[in-house]
Amino acid sequence: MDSPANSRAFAASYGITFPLLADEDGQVSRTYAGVTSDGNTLPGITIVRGDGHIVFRQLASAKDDRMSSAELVATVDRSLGTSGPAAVHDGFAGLDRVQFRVDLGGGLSHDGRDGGDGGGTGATALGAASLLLPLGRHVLIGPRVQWGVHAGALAIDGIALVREPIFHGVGALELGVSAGWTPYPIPRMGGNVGGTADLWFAISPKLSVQLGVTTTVYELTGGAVTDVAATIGVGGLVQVSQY
Amino acid sequence: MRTALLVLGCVTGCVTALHVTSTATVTSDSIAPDFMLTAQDGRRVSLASELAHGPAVLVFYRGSW
Repeated sequence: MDSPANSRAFAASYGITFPLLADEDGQVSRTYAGVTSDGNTLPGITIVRGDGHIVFRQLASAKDDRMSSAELVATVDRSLGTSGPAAVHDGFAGLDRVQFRVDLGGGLSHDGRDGGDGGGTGATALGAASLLLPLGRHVLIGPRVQWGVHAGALAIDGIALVREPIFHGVGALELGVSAGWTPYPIPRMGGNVGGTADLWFAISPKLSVQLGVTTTVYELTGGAVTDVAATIGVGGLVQVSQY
Repeated sequence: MRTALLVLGCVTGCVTALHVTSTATVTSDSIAPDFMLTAQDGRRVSLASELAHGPAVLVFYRGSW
């Protein structure tokens, strides 16, 4: 078996960046693959799911038994339910990344109070910035700051999104709820709640775009100003964990 | 999550006629036994630490064929 020093030279000559592990006493090889009469590892592939279960094993006792790279990629996809290198690296990584989003929108604002200042319905615009942390593939949570122009109100919220990945994990359909507090201006001060629906795409491993509709209800206890808007935004994707 | 690719085993050496003298003790659908080995950069790598980031592909390799 090779030493780490031999592995280092081999890895450098082939540009290998994944871990090339030296099983110098052969113990791991005996456990997983088997050892041949010359004392070397029996070549083979073992695919381990994230929960630790072995989902595929193959042993090559002859040269022709070895898998090609394409066969291995196909086997990984079949065993893990992924869809090619793009899904594993870009798509899944996109879903796995922290997102910093900026969204702009336009729509209608309805003031539920009778008469007084700003009663009735008018056009509005909104701007929002959010920092979203992924909790697995299907949930994003984080803080959001939003300004509604017609209501003239700031909303500082927590937002939670559930999402269903689409297009092999490079996009997602999202539904979200928000709740928080409007500290400014004084007449709008109070609790607010809202909901969103988005179509999200990671257009690169570091950049996303999202289209959606969002509603926010300000002044929950004081007459309720309701904004409904269509939004478009961009997101920066940041990888926070890497081996 | 990403799929880690780990390559273990022998890089040099070639034998044409092989006889299996020791067979593996793991089976499909069992829990993969953890191990810790040294990588080419001197880092100690365990299967558990790789699985924390997602699935892992173990490639047992011998160099010349």
